[in-house]
Amino acid sequence: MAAQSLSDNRAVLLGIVRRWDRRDRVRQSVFWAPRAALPGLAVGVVLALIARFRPFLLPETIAAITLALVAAGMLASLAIIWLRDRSLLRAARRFDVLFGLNERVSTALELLDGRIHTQPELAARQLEDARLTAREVRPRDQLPLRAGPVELLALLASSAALVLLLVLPNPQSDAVALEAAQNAAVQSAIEEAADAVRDLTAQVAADPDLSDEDREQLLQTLDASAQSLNDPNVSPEEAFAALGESQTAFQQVSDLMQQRLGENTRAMQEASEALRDFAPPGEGSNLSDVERMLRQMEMMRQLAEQMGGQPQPGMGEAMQNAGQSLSQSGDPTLQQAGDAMQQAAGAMQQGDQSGAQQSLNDAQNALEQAQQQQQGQQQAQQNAQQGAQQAQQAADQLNQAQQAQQGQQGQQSQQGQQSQQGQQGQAGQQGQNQQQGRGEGQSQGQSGQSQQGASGEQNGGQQQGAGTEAESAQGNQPGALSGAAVRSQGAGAGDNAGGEALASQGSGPIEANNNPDGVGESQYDAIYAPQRIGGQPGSEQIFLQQDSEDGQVVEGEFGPNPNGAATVPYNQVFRSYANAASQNLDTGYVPLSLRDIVRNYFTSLEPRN
Amino acid sequence: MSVQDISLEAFSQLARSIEAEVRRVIVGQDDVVRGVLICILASRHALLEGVPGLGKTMLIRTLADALDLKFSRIQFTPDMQPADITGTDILEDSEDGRTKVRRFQPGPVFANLVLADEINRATPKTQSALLEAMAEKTVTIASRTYHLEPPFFVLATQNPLEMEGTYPLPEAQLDRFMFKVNVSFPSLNDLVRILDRTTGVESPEAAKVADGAQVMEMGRLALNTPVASHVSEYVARLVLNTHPDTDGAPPLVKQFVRYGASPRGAQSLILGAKCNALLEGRFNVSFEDVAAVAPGALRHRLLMNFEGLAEGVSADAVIADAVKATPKTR
Repeated sequence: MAAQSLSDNRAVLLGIVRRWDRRDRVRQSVFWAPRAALPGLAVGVVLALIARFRPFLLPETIAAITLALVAAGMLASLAIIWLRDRSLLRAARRFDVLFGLNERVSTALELLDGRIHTQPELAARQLEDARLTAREVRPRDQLPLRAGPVELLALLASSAALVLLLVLPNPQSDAVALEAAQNAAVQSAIEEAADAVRDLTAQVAADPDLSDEDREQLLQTLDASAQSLNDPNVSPEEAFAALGESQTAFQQVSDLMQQRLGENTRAMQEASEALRDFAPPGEGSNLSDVERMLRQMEMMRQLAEQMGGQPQPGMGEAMQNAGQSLSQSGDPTLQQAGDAMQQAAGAMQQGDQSGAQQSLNDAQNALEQAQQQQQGQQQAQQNAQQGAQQAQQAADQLNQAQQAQQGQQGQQSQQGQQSQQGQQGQAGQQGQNQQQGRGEGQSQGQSGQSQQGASGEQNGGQQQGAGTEAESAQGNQPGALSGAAVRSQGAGAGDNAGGEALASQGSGPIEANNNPDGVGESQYDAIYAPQRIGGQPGSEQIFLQQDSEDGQVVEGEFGPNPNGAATVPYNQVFRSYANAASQNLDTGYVPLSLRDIVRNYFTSLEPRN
Repeated sequence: MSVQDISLEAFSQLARSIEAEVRRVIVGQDDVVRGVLICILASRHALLEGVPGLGKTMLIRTLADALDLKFSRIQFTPDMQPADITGTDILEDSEDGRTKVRRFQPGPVFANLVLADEINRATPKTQSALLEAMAEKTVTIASRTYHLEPPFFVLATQNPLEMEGTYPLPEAQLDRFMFKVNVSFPSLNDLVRILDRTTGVESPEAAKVADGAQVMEMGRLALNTPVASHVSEYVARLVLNTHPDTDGAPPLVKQFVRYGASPRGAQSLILGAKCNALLEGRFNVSFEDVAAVAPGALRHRLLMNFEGLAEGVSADAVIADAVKATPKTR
């Protein structure tokens, strides 16, 4: 009976204490909720204030951050309140003090738990007393669900301030939104460039006409570029540099192949010239050197057979000269053909008809093989050139996106007027057109030097409509490299077309002692060639074209432009060009010794008004 | 009569009756009455301190009357000898008259309720004669030990003003008193009532409402009052906080106390709190009980330093500070 009573008292007391504990946790939750939300709101207000003074975050972003912080704070407080482990005995001790129960409940629980002991009658009376006293407690009165008035006021004030800061028009919001969109465009361009590099890698790996050495070099460069572009933290400058390296590698391979083809062509031209007396009648002028030589050799073989071992006078000597020309070429197959021709010439001179026929057959076979190799090399050179063009196109897209972003930033920092954004976009669009034109010029330059000059004229016409002299000089440079250099320079390079310096430097081969220190010979990147190649070290004077004093700056909408004259005011496009040059200076791709020249150049071009 | 023979209702009835009888004679001084009653229920000793004429002796005599206990009063003087308290052997004729035999003549300490009036006027040697009786409840004379009949209480008084020619009780002896009860001057109303009550023809007298056995049973029941563990810890922390070297000691303790309360002080706190709880009609000890008995239990156990004595800082102020500064839960 007594045990039953103790058990009942225990259940009753524990139930009461649990109820108090839940009520107390609810009260604490209500009390702490405003306090937990206040830090998040304060952060939101600070962010909103910062966003009003400089381009920082969009209102939606600030609201989301604030809500997240508020939710996190409240969740943390709720977790602390509700997940905190507090035994019922500790809770009872706390409630004894809180409700003024004179330790009745906690003593009763300890008696029930056997922690303390007393005589049964006293224990029973104590438990009964604790139970009755606990039942008289009104938790709703003792534990009201109230938040602090100060906290509530602070919460309301912070919320109101935040709402006002977010709802009221923010002059920085448009700039932030535009910047975000441009960043997304740049990122998209980088991703597209990475796709292009991936495609190029597959093409190079599957190209049968490339030598193993060239393929390995290109694949290494493309792998490095792909790694850079796939890096999530890659900057536009790094992506641009990676694409530039790929383009340069393709171009170098292409140039090397072009050089080899040129050497072989020259050797075959000389050999064919030596055999011109033995050309078959009615030979077409549109035959290639190899085909012409094959026909000449066939003619000589027929003559030798007709003369019955008595060769025609001069035949052996011509054969000997032609063989020597081919032997001096760098191509092994042509060397083999040259050696066979020299052996045939020796056999003819010695009257060895069969030996001469055999050597001539060997020479013909070697030439046919050389003809096939030449066709393959031409195809490989075109493929490399195409790869360079694709890399350049990817770089162009990236550069366009970046220039649009920089043009916008420059406009914000310098003028901060919304009205000029459209004009800046127009300038960016024009720069894009110019670069596309240069890309076309590069592709045309692959087919021959004469076409490079034409492409240069096309570039100049698109940019300023002046400087044909310089453009023709530029056409004498290795076409692909020159085109790449102009493109990597961006829109700023277009003004070089009118400079006299370019005209004076427009020579072809690199001269001796062209180092800045005057000693030795150095191969410069073509981007700097206009200032160096062909000039005297240290004595070069650059005379920049100046705007006329009475030149009128025309602004506003422009109609059709049948004459091809510049339709964008100079002072509007200058900044974007100067920014592009400044960016390339900052990226470190321009040697230190030449940076001042570039800076002085743009300083001299700065609009006077 | 066993412990089970007295019920809680009987305890409450007897306690109320005792206090009622005392208050028929003693006007006011509720805290003093409660303190002395607690000491009696706990079978411990009390030291009452107050200026002459405040009714200290009257209170103790009234308690003795109400409790039907053997009462003896010892007026301590400087020339008093220990034998005057404990008793001594005397020579007397044997029953046949032919020889002399030695017979123990008990002193006034052989009583249930001993009033040691102005105890600080006796020499330390005489004061120490009470030590064994208070601590062991025995008296040893000439190698013979005599047990004092329970219940045995020593209720001593001392005058705090006339210090010349007195011998302050040593700390060891003070520590044997459960409470030191300060008897304060009555209020205006109480004084008027005292005048009315004591200047007439008839003087009120207390009726006997309980005997010694009942008092002892009440004490045993009070000692069974349950004390929650965190209350006991609170008492321990409170006593530790009276020591200036304790980290949690309040500023007054650190500044003015030379040595804090002894473990016997903690025992007195628990015992006093238990009795106080039952007298309050509760069946468990609360923090309020501890706080209520803390001044009486601790004030004579704090040894003030020179700064405290010079500043006139009272032990009660230090104790109040310690009670306030001691956390009720860890």
